Amino acid sequence: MPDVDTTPTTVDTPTSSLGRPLGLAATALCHTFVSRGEETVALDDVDLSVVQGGFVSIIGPSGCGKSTMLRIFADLLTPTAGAARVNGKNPHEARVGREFGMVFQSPNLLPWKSVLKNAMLPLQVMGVARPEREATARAMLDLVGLTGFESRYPAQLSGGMQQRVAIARALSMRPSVLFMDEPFGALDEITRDRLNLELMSIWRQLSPTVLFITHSIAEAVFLSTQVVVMSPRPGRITTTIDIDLPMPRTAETRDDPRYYELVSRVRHELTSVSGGPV
Amino acid sequence: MTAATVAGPGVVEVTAGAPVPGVPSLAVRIARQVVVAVGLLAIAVALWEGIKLVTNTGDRTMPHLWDIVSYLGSKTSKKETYGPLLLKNMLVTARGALLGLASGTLLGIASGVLIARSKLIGNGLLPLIVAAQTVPIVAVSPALVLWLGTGWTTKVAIATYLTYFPVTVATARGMQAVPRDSLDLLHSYAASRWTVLTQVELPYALPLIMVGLETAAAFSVVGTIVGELPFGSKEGLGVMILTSWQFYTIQPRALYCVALGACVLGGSLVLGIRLLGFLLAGSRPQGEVL
Repeated sequence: MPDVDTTPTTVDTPTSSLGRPLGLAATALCHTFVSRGEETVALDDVDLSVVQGGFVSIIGPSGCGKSTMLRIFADLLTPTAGAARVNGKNPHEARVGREFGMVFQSPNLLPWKSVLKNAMLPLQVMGVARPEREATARAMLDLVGLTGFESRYPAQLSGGMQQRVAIARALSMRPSVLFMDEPFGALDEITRDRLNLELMSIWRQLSPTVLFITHSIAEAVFLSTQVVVMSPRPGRITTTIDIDLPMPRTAETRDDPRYYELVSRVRHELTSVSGGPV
Repeated sequence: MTAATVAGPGVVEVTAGAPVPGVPSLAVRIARQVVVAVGLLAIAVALWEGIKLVTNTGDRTMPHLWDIVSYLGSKTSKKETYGPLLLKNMLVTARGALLGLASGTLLGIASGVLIARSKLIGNGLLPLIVAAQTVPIVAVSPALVLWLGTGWTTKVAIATYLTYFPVTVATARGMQAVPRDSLDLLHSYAASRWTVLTQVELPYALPLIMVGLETAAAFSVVGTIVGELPFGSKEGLGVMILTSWQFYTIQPRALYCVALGACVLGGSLVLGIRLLGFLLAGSRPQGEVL
């Protein structure tokens, strides 16, 4: 199994109160979109810290700024104020250092490339030699259960399988941080449950820091070490709920009474921020 | 091939390595196109002869198709057989058209990339290109002859000019259609602009560029012929057209032969582009280029 190097690359990596280094940190993060002279506050004074190897889900109604936050961490947006840190570095440095991988809601595969070539794409861009990138991509495809499908094309796969390729692709650059923006949002619930289980197994093996955005309460509780609830207009963090379910999370976790308690707690928090059932 | 099945709920079971159902092979797809093309040709022939019959048009205006074709075997005043002479001139025109198509394509792709990449350049350049496209090329071709002479440069310049526009627009449109997520993905790899262009943007634009190229291929033939029309040219389909114009009242079949030759040339170029598209799309599952 490939190891992920999680050793901090900078000396002054900030640490959590418990002394563990932080994978993600946001301090007083603000972001305002200006469209036709009208200002929309997407993020207002958001603080967040995720220890390395932590799995944090962000949940909240549409327009609460959860995607904005992810895009700031991924260096796709520059915050209006405040700072974001990925492994102690600013997002730009982290991106240039190829420290994070991304998984989108759409599988976002290149339709003219085979499954294997799609999975190799980041390594190809990084200039990794062909035998090495092929070996890594094959290992990651194996990890997501796609051995035997390497020469298929995306159009020949189901939605769930396409999303597995997208995950393998993100993993192939062996990132220490994974940004997942509603990766299972377009899948049916059965496929989603199954991929949740697989994601847990992958996370256990590679232990990346994960920032996971979702609309599903059950998914957030099942996957995360922490669930962050956000409220819209302006986007703020209202609560952070520690998910103390035992590890490893398996199919049995979903039968745990504690799981139901946490699900209903997150639901109540969400209902209060959005003023009604989500 | 190993047959792996992913069992489990919600996951479609797909056997790896099996041929993909519902996607015919390349040979079958090409054969189908050939059948359709032959069918359409037969319809065109029937229309020509049908219209001639119904409107009772005389042989001087509308010769029988077999008369036109048989003219290819007749001798010219210089004791040359008309068919080979036509073929020789077609090749001259083909050379100009191909050169113009190549340079117009390169310039067009480059401009399309610039237009798609830069709003400023795009917004400034596109209206200019559209405006330039409305200039009647026949009107300015004598001026071009004065600039560039009667040699092949003039022909190629005109063919380039006509080729450039469809390729530019197709490239720009195709690149603008690239999904935002794909660009974000490459951004997260810290990919260079060149990598983004070659790995994502141009492959995404390829099907549209091929459509633009088909239009351009036909234009390149027209452009070269127009370039051969002005006084001074020695060979090419344009020269043959000028000669046939002069003798039309005596021998109308010559002009139709040249027209047919131009059609065959244009059609061959378009077919060549299609074939290129097939080859480029060879690794794509559904031959998306077509």
